[in-house]
Amino acid sequence: MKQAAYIVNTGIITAIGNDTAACLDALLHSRTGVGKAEYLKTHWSEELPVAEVKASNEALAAIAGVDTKWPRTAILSAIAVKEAMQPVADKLHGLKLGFFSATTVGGMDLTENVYKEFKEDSSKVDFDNIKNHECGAITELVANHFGINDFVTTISTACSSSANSIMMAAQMIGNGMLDVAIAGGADSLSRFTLNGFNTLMILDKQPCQPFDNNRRGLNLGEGAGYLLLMSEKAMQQCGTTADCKVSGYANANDAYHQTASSPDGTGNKLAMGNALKVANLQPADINYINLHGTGTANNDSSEGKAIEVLFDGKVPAASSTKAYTGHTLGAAAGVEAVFSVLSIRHGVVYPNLRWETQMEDVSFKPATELQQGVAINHVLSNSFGFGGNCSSLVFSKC
Amino acid sequence: MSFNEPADSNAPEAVYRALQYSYPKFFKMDLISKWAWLGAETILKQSDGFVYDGIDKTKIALVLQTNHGCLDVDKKYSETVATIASPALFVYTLPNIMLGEICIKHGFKGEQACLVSNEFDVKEMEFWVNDLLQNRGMDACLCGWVDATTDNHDVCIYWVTKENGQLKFSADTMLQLYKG
Repeated sequence: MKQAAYIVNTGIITAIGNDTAACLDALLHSRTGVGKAEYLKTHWSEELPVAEVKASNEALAAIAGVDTKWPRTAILSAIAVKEAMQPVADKLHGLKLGFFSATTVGGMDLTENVYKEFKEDSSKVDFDNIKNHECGAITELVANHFGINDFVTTISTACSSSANSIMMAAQMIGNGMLDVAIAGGADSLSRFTLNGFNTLMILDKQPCQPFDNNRRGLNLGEGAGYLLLMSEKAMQQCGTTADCKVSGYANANDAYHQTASSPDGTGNKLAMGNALKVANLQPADINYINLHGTGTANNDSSEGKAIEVLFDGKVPAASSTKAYTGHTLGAAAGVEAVFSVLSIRHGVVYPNLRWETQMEDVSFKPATELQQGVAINHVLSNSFGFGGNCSSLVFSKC
Repeated sequence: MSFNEPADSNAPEAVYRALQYSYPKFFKMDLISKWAWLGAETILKQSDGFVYDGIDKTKIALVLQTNHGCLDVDKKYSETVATIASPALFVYTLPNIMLGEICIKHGFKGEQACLVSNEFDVKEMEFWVNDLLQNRGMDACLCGWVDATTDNHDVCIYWVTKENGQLKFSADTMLQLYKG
């Protein structure tokens, strides 16, 4: 019998808030974080809105208590990890602690500057700025800062990255390999990702409208989101309790295209269906679906169709929160795991912002009004990445 | 394997036509994916099916080595950036996409690795394939060297299984077949 991975605390920073309470407040008051880039230096700042954390690297590093020369992804990660660990930071003695951090951008923000300088005058380049380029370096910086060394790993599977890090952490706690895990991910904005997504012609020049018939694409965002997971034994030692747990998880592959989902969402269906099986739940047990809902024509159509089939037309309350936070890529599933936990804890369904028109090829309508005082026992959270990498997580009330 | 067909040229499309394959997506691929796809197709396809028939596809691994990688499409993509950056080219600007194209065609879902080296490093390949088959739960592995520029191509693909075959898998065997 596998042990449960209980969710003891959360840590988050996104364009809508620097911690869990601030993000919840923004979600409850329909405050979006999508707007003009101020800190990301890009040619596209007037044309492509982004969901940016409105603070300089220096200001953010001061919140986290880390070096201002770290890549922005690492700084965002440290802020959210600090919040997640805070209640138990001095009680973990003797417990096996793991850190599962996802990222896709890594230290690219600093590397971009080196690249520019190198082309202009290679003798003036500070090559220290590329030493934390690779994704794993971000995790190492943060793990070392917090003294986590029992198990440390980085997962980079595009937009499903942090769902896979939470899945792996839940499995390792489940099998008794770890007592405590901090699992999620972080990604900062960078010119590399903005231009890459722009090349694919899937960025919206206006604030995005997920699951709307007239959706035009996604807005990129930045942030970090982590869950503090514990076994029952660890909770006893730390004198803490949990109100929900990771009850289901699954990963599947579409094997269809580099960057597109298959039209009928083959991988999406497999991931959702298998996550429900692991949780030992029926589709009717799910009270809320936190959609991947990027706002691209392709994703929302594939995801919507897969949900309709899996739920046999009886789709529970569902919404995408990417209209608030933008698509935070490697951090997205961590951020949305925090939102899923808050949905269970506070009995809320978040409105799918800016929704106007029913999709033609999907019959269900996302939740568009804030619902409060709802009994939310089980939440399904979807994250579907490039490479056909599809992951779903199920969170359940204890 | 080699492409000593009537059309053994540097145009993968000519080889594709000579071998009478029918897979329209082939024409969307970048240069290295086309050669990798042709290499895989030629070695895997048999008169009455595929060499992997009967093997669990979740246990078929794939390891390819390259030198130039996807440089050909990188250059073409970078030329389009000045006007309208091409999404169709952009999605091929990673060398490991050639593995994905093979997996999509044949449904392989095992472990995969794409290695970059100056020349075909048979010792390195021997290590990875042996590790996959002996320690990572894989039953078979498609592996080899795929390198291409507009003027040249160099493709050598091997099918390795745990079953006893005519040849014992080793760095030396790979080298002999490659040079031969």
